[in-house]
Amino acid sequence: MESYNVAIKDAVKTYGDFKAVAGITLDINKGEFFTLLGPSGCGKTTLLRMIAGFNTIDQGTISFGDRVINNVPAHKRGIGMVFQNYAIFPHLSVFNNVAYGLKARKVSADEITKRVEIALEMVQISELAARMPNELSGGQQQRVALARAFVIEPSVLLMDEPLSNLDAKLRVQMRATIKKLQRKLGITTIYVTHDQEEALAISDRIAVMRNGLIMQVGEPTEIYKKPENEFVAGFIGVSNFLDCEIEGKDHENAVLNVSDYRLPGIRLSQPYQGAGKIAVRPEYLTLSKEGIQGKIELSTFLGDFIEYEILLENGQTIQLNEYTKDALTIKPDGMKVKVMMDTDSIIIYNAQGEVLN
Amino acid sequence: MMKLLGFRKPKVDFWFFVKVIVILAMLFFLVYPFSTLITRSFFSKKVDGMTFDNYATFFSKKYYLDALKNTLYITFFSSLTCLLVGAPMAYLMTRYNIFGKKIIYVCIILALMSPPFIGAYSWILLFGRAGFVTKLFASIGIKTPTIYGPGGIILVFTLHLYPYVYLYVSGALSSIDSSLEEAGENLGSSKIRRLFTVTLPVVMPSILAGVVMVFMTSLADFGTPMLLGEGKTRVLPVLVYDAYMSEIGGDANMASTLSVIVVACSLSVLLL
Repeated sequence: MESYNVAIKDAVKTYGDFKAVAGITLDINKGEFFTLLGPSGCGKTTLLRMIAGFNTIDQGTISFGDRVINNVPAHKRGIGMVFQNYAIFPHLSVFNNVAYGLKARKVSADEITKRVEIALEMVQISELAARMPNELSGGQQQRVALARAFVIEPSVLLMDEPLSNLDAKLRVQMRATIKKLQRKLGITTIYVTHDQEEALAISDRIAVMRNGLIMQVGEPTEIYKKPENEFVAGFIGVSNFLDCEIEGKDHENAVLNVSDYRLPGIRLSQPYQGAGKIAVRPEYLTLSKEGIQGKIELSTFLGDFIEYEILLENGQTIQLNEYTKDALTIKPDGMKVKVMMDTDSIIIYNAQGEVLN
Repeated sequence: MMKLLGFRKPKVDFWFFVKVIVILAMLFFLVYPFSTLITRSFFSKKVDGMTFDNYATFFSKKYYLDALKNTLYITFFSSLTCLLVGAPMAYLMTRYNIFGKKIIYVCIILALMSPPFIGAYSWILLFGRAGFVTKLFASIGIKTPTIYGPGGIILVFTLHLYPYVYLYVSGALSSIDSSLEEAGENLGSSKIRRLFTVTLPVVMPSILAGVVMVFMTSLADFGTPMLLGEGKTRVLPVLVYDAYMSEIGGDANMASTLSVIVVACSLSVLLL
């Protein structure tokens, strides 16, 4: 089956008074690896289940290509889905699990054998074909679930936190397997996760969700470097939020006052004066001779970098990462330091949380 | 020496006494009566010493073989009808919102709580020869089907024992991982196909457990076939009773033999 683009238009799902999905519009390109990312309860799984057909669409439309699928029953949508708990049929062997969808489609026996074998080959579990699910490890079950979902050549592949039950090492390994497989097959894939690192690693594009709404859509680098609002900045990676005062009449050449230290020459996209906020990642902060005054509260050696927790004079605590290879010594707790930031890599928000630069 | 044989000196604590008491209770209440039963089945009044005489009698006389046949016939069909009533009912009750669900549930449990022969007796009061319904219909010239005989016994067993199947299956259905059915749906199976390829196979162990319970209970029940069989439809538990209480002086050894055969029947079903 040919892969489609997925268009979601003003989709709404309500449970009583609660809007689980509160009007979402998304355009997912054909062949794209698209991730819905957000904390638990943000509506990402609800939206995925609406696409799959397990939840009704209360308002708005979802279409595959030109076809609106609101009223198409789940078993006729031609979707492959990988469930969080894998949902491997316990009474069927690995082979029959993978063959299930093909049998439902009345594919001939010869072709089923051929296609299942290819699918098992692709997820590297050919030798397990005759095994029963209770004889498989978590990672192997995951591979069965994956093979079962894509062997039917779905128009869209859906994955609901497929890696959350695996241990950390296997998770990274499976992540790579899934990404390569998706590239190779070119199936439009919608992936749900609450793990921002996973989302950044695996996706072509990410939609960050919160309270049933989309906070930002963009490529991983875009979301990481240019978060459009405080929520995204806080949710993706680690961000320090520093209170600041924005001064100067010329917004092309403004001054940021952070804890009585002035950073000049800041370009803002619009005129603004008064209280604001800076979001800056720990790796864009450096210890230097000049800068915001503070005191090291806690230093933690983490191998490739050292993490400092620094209490600034304005009472805010920030996190600063220094690469071990750049550091001469690990600075002790209680030491007075000065912190500088790379002003090209900070995001400045006004009091309402809108981006100013 | 103790060590060489792999024995360790048992630790005498609370759990040691619990173990001892449990083992003694098992020996006294289970092993002793059962072994007596088996031993007695190998003795006969006619022959001295141990003999297979009773068993030979059993397998050669039509009287006994007919009873065995009746027993198996009735238990088999009771199990089947219980399955056909209990399983679909469990499916409907767990998957759909049915009006008065709680009351229906209580009624089902109620059926299980009363002994089957009470049911048999009430059916006789309604459909027996002098039964209320029989008379009512007879007065307008309609002949009602008889409640006596194998059919009636199966009917009463079905109405009393299907809750076993119902309870086992509804328990399994309500705890089945719903994502399994969703996976089936997602892979292109219609509702009916999903039922047969996913739901039923997954709950099959529970269905079988329920059916085995019905089989064993109906195999061992005495009251219902006694009341409804009227000495014409003989089943093994009734023969056991007759052998003990026979007017000509009971034959306890033959009764033991019959009991052993009943136990063997239910055991073979359990092990299957």
